[in-house]
Amino acid sequence: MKIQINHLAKMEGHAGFVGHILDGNVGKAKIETQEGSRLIEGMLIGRHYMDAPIITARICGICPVVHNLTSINALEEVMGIKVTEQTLVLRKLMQYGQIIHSHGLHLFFLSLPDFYGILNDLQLIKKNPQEADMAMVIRNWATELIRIIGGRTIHPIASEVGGFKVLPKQSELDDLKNKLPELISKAEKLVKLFIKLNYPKLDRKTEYICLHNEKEYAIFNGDIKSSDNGIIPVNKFSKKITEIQKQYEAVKKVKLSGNSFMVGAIARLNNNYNQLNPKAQSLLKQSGLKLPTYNSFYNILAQAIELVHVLEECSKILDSIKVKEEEQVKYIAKAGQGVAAMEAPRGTLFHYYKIDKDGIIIDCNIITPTAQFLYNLEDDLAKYLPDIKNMTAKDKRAKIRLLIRAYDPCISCATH
Amino acid sequence: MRQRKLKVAIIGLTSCEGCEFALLDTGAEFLDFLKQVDLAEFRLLEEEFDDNTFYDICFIEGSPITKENVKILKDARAKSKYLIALGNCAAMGGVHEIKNYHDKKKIKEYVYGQKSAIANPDIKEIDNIVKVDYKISGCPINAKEFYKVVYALMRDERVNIPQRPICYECQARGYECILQRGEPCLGPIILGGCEAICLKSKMACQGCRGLFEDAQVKTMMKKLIKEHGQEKMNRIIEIFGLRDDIEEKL
Repeated sequence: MKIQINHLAKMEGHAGFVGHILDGNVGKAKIETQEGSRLIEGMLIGRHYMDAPIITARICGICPVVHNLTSINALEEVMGIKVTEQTLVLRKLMQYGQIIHSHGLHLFFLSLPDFYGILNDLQLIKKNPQEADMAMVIRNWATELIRIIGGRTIHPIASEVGGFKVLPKQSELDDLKNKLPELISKAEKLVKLFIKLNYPKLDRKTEYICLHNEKEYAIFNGDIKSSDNGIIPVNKFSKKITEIQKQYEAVKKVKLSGNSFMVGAIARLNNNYNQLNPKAQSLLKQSGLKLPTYNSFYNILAQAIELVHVLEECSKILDSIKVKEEEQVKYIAKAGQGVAAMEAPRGTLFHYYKIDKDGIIIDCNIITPTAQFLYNLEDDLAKYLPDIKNMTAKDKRAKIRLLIRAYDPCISCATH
Repeated sequence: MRQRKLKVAIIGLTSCEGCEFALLDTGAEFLDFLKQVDLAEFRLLEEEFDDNTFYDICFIEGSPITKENVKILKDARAKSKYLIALGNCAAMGGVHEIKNYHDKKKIKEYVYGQKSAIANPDIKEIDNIVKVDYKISGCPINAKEFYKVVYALMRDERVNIPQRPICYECQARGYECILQRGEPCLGPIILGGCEAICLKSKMACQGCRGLFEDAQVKTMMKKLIKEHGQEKMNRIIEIFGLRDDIEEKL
């Protein structure tokens, strides 16, 4: 039995789905990306490193901040640049803003309609005006946070190698801080909505990969933690993953030691849940979700819990931050190579650069979360298809869409 | 008053979709806009839509890279009264136009190796393929400009994008002139309308909105090349697909 969905809507970028149920208990599934390749890495070769954070931000309109910052971190790694504590804190706030607005969009506007059987977001908003308003208020706060620090929400301007071109005003950060208590309580209400949803059953063991940091629930920096193989440094891990090149595919999907693996909110929750902030921890407890979970549908709930965790984290930082005028760190460009990783909303993002003594990029590679989890998604779909074989064609398609969107794929990132 | 709501489509080709998110990020304002139109296609928010319809206003974001992209673009034109290029990619080529100025075969092989059969055409602004009625450029767009254009069309008014440089907005806001500080800022020849947002963060204008009519391109480029060298200036004007537009005027 063949199931085909030509265009998957309500996700970033363009892709379709083809699946077969082979003999009742065995499924085969493929995500077909329909995005043209922009050859981002190829264009960076021969260019000055200062262009990389600007150009790579354009890989993705929903997560430009994390591309911009990962690129900057990697280049600072290459040249051994140590930026100020204030720079790190401000970047971290931008990164949290990135997680909040991306999760907010995915949770409410892209995923929730699936659970309610609604095809059009405008109907969803009409039927759930209060929740829609909460989701929008939370997103607005996060886009403002990025705008105030980065100069612009989509494709930030102020952040660059060495620090910030301009610093945010303390008064603007204070305004954001004052809005937080009410915002966090709104987010908690929204999460409760996601706790109550009826998640389909799926159980398929896989390896969960994300950053880990002893000091905090890792989003901004850390080593790599595998649910199966413990902790290893980012530069060692990046050598263990393989990009698989197919003649007609614009996405180089990734395998780890020959297998599919999972990244993203569910991986972070599975690996690091004991580091969640109190309110997020309490919501996790209320949800009754047993960790580790091997049900990818719960990536949605994991994002919801992270939303509150990250807001609590912002609250800690904004409570104590006192912006002081400071110069960017002085450095001299020098030859070298290096890699950096950050937790993007959809999972671990890697940027690698090699530059020559004049600061010209001579080698680079960008490995996005979606490229890493596409094989895992296909394996999940293959496992899931036989479970839904007796449903009507319409319901089957709805369930497949739900699983695909639970991953929050970004095809623009995956292709780039 | 009109008898019916206008049918509006927002269609993405190959891009980062940031211009679509620039609209979504306006939140309540965007919802208010959607209430006033009949949204005929916008995949970020809708699962299903009618393929056999027409559009009063169709916004095209992104670049036609795959054959499917080109087909979607041509179909959209055939269905639309007004077709508007939304953002730097559609209007000027986008960051990926960089490959047009270099060895694009080599660039593809660097990323995908020699055996790959993926599409690698020259990057074209959409007006090379279909007739474009208006352009809203920027990387990303300024959502305020989007609303200004779309509401003018909805009221049957003339769309007016003032032909004046970024400097006009930069000076009005009292930002420091970083061109005078010696940075290669393209502000004097680039179309305003972005509220000089980069200059607010002390970043030199790299021209994502394109040239305004009657910009003194020759004089400005001569000055910048003298100060910064041809190679560096080429690198800068390549980032947002501006190089071909500038070279046409030299």
